[in-house]
Amino acid sequence: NISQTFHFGALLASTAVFPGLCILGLNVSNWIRVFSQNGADLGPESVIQISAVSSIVGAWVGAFPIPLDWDRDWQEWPITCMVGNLLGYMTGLVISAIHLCVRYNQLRKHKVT
Amino acid sequence: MAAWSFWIFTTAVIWFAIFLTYFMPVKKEFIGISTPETVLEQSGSLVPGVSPLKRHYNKTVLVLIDALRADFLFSPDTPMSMTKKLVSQNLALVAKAHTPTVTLPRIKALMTGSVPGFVDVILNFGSTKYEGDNILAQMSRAGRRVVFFGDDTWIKLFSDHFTRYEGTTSFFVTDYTEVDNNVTRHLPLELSAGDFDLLILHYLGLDHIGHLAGPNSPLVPPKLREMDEVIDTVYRSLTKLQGEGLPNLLIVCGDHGMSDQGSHGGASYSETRVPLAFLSTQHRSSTGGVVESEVDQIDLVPTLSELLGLPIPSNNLGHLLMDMVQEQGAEEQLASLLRNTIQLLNLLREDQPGADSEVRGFFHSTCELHSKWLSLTPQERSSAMAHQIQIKYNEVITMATSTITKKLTTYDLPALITCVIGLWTAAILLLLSQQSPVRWVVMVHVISTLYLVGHLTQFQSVWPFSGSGYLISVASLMLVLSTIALQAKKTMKDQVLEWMRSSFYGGGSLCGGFLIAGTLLHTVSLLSSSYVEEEHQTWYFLSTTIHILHLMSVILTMNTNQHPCNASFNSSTSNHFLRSCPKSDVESDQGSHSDKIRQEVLNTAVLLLAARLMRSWNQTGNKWLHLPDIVDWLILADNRILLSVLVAVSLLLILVLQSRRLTWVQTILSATGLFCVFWSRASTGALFLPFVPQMDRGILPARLSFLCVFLVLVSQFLPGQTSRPSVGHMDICLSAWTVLHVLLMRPHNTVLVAFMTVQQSVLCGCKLVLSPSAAAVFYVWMGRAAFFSQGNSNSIATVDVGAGYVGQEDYNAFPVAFLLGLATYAGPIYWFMAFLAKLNTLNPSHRDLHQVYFTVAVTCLLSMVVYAAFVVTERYHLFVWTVFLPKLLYLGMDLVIYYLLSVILVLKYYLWCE
Repeated sequence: NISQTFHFGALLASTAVFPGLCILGLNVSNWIRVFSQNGADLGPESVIQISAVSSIVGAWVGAFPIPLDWDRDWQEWPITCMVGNLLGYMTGLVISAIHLCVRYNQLRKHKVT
Repeated sequence: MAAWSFWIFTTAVIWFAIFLTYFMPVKKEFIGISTPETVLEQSGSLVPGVSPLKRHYNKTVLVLIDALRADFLFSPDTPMSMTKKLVSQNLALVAKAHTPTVTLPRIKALMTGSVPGFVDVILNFGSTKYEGDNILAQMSRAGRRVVFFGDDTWIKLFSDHFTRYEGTTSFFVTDYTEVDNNVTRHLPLELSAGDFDLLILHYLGLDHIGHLAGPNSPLVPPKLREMDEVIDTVYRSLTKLQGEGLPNLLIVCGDHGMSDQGSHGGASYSETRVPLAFLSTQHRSSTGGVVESEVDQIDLVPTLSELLGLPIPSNNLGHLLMDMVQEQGAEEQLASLLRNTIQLLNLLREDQPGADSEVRGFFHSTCELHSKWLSLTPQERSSAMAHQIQIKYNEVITMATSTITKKLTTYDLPALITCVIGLWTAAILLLLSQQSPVRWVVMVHVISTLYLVGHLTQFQSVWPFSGSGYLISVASLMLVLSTIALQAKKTMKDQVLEWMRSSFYGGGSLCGGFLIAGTLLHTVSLLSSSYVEEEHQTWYFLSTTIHILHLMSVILTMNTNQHPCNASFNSSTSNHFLRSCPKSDVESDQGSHSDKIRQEVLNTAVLLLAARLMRSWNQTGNKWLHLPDIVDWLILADNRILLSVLVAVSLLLILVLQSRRLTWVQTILSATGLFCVFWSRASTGALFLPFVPQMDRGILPARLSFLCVFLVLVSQFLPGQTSRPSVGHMDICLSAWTVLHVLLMRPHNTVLVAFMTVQQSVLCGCKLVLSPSAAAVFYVWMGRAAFFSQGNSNSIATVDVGAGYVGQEDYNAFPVAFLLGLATYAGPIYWFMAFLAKLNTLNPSHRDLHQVYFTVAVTCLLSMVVYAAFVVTERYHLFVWTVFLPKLLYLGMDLVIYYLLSVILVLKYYLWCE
C-alpha cells in the first residue's frame, strides 16, 4: 500500500506543512519559533500553528480504530487517518478563528485602556 | 525509602501469582490405571452376565495428519479423492478439538481422553514423560506391539510404550517434504511385515505448509494428494493383511485445524474442526458415509479402547461413538456403554467426592433394566428396549461429563476478589509510598498479605471463611485501603503533581506528558480484546511517536536556550503579521546551532529507520499475521547464503559498536562468543559456514558461547580491566547480555539485535531532555516494541520453544524454563539494561533512583491491576482462554522480569556512596 501511504502523506503535508510553507518560507528558525510555546504572532502564524498541530494530532488519533475487529471497509489504512486529519484540520481552523477573535478583543481592550 | 517501595512491589508480585493460580486451577489427575480385571469386576457386579472386553479389530493404523482441518477432507473438490471414496463406504465424522489447539495437548487428549486445562500448555513446554493412564499404556500392558513414526513429541511423552519408533524433529518449519518422507519410507517394510497391533503415523508436513504459506497456498493440494496416496496404500495393505478372523482398522484424523492465516492455537471454527474417519477393512452392514453431527475429538479414546478390547483410560471424558460400535450388535454395544459409564462415574467420584450420588440412583435403575434385558433369551430381546437402555446410559454419561467439565470452568470468586483487592491495595500504597509512606500501613499490608497468601495456598478455597484470621486480615486490608483513602485526599494531589512536575523538568514537558498519557492509553486499550491481540501496533505507534516528540522537544529546548528572548515573544506586543528573527542574535550561533539540529534530526532518522525495519521484520498479532514479512522471505531455502551474510554482518556490527566500551580482552571474548553463535547456527544447518560439518545440534559452540558470556561478566572484576573510567559495570553487563541475546535468538532475528544495538548507541550518544524517571518509561517502551518485533505476541503460540534448548543435551525443567523466559523477554531485558547504562551517565541522586524505581513499578503495576480487575468481571467471556488468559500470563511474566531487573536499582540505591 505504498500509493495509499503516499496519498495520505500528500494530504497530511497539504494541511500541516503547505500553509506554513506559504507564510514562513524555508527559514528553519522561523519554523522553530512559530511552533515553540508562545512563539507565534497573532495572525496567520497562530492559525498555522494551531491548524497544523491539530491536523497532525487528528491524523494520529485517526489511527486508533484500525486494529479493532469490526471488519468494516473503512478500517483500511489510511482511511481513518485521512478522515482524522481532515477533521483535525477543520477543528484547528475553527479553534484558531475563535482564538484570533478572543485574543484580538483582549488586545483592543488593552489598547483602549 | 526504596525499601518500602520494594516491599510493596514484592507483595504485588505475590498477589498476582496467587491470582493466577486461582484463575487457572491446576487440574487434579486421577493417578490410577484401570485394569481389565477391575473393569470386569465392576461391570459384572452391576450387571451380571455382561459380556467382557472383547477385541474387535486385529491391526489398527492411526494416521494423524497435523493441521488436517475438516474441509480439507470433506469439501466437494478435495484433492483427497481416494480417501473420500473410502470414507463414503465407511464412517467419518467432524470432530471438535478442545482448545488449546496445539499439537502436544491434542496428542495427550487423543491418547488419554482428558480435556487439558490451559495450565497444561504452560507446564508442558518441556513435554516430559506422561505417567497417567492412556491407550498406549493399556496396549503395552496387554502385551500388544505399538509402532510409531512421526513427530517426536510422541516419543517424549510415550517412548516406554513403543516397540519400535522413529521421530522426526520439527526443527525447521521450512521443511515440509523431508519430515513426511521420513515417515513414509518405513511404510513398505512395516506393512509387509505386519507385526504390529497399533501403528501410529504422525505427518507434520501439512502443518509446516500452513505456518509457512497458509491453507490457500498452492503447496497444500499436492501435500493432500500425497497424504491421500499414503492412506490409500495403507488401506490396501491392511486389506491384504486381514486374517485371524478379525478385520483391520484404519483411522484418519487431524490433531487440530488451521486458521485462515495458517496458524493454530485458538478456538475459531476452522482451528477446532478436524475430520475423524474410521475405515474398516470389513464392509459395514449399515450405510456409513459422512455423519453430519459433530462429536468431540476425545470421543475417539473410549471408542478405540472398546474396539481394541482395552479398559478405557481412567481420565477419559470422551463419550463412546455409537455409530462405530453399532456394528458389534446390541449386546456388545450396551456392554461398552456400561463400561464407559462406570469409568466416568469413577472419575466423577474421584474428582468431586459426593457429586456422583444424584447420578447413581438413575444409573442403578438403568443397570437393573440392562440386567433384565440380558436375562431374556435372544429371541425375546426387543430392540426398542435396548434402545431405551442406550438412551438412559447416554443420559448418565452426559450428566457425569457435564458435572466434571463444569468444575473446569468455575472460578473461586471470593478468592479472586481477595486477590484483586490485594493487588489494588499494593498499587495504591505504592503510589503513596513515593514520598512519605505511612510505615505502619505498609507493615499491616505486608503482614496481612503474608497471612492471606498462606491461607489461600493452604486451603485452596476461602469459601468456608475458616477461622477469624481470614476475616481479620481481610479487615486489615480494608483498613489499609481506607487509611489510604483518607491519606489520599490530602496527599494524592500533591503526589501526582509532584510526579508530573518531576517528569516534566528540563524542557521535556511534551515528552513527559506524552509518556504519562501513553501509559494510560495503553492501560485503557487492554480493555478491548482486539487491542490486546494487536498490542504490538500500540507499542510501535507509541514508540515512534515518542521518538518524534523527543526530537521536537530537543529542537525547541535548544531554541529557547539559544534565544532566551523568545520566551517573551508573545503576541501582545505585535501588530505586524510577519516577523523576522533578530538577525544579529541568530548569525553568531547559526553555524553550531544548525549543525546540532542536523545531528539530532539524523539521530532520530536512524532511530526511526531501525524501528521501521524492526517493525516489518516479523508480522505478529492476529489480524495481519498472514501478511508476508521480511523473515518469511529470508528463511526460504534459496536465501540461505544471503541470510548467512546478513547475520555475519550484523554480528560484526554488534561487535564494532560494542568494542567502544570494552577493553581488548573483553572484546576478544565477546568476538569469540559471537563467532561461536554463528558456528552453532551453522552446524544446525540454518546458516552457511564453509568447512563445518552439519547436522548436529550445535551444542558445543553454544556452550562455548555461554562460557564467553560468563567470562566477560567476570572480567570486569579482575584487576587492571577498568581502564576506561566512563565505562560502568552496566555497560559490560549489557555487552555480555548482547552475546547471550544473539545466542538465544533465531538466526534471522540476529539482525534485530544489530538494529537494537545501533539504536542503543545512538541513544547513548545523544542527550535526552528527559528526567531519569521519564527516561525509564521511554526505555521500557522501546523494550516493549522490541518484544513484539522479535515475533512475540499475546498468544501462547508464538513463544519460540527452541530457544529453551540452546546448548542443552536434553530436557531439564529449570534451565529450559529459564532460557525460554530470557529469550522471550530478550527485548525488554536488553532495553532495561541499556537504560541502566544510560542512567549511570546521568549521575542520578538518591532521590532520582527512588523516583526511577517508583516509576518502573507503577508503569508495570498500573496495567496489571486494571487488567486483573477487568478479567475477573469478564471471566465467562468467550475469549477468556484465547485472549485474556494468555495476556495475563504475559503480564505476569513481564511483572516478574521488571521486578527482578529493578532489584538492581534498589541495590544501587543502597550501595551507592559518594
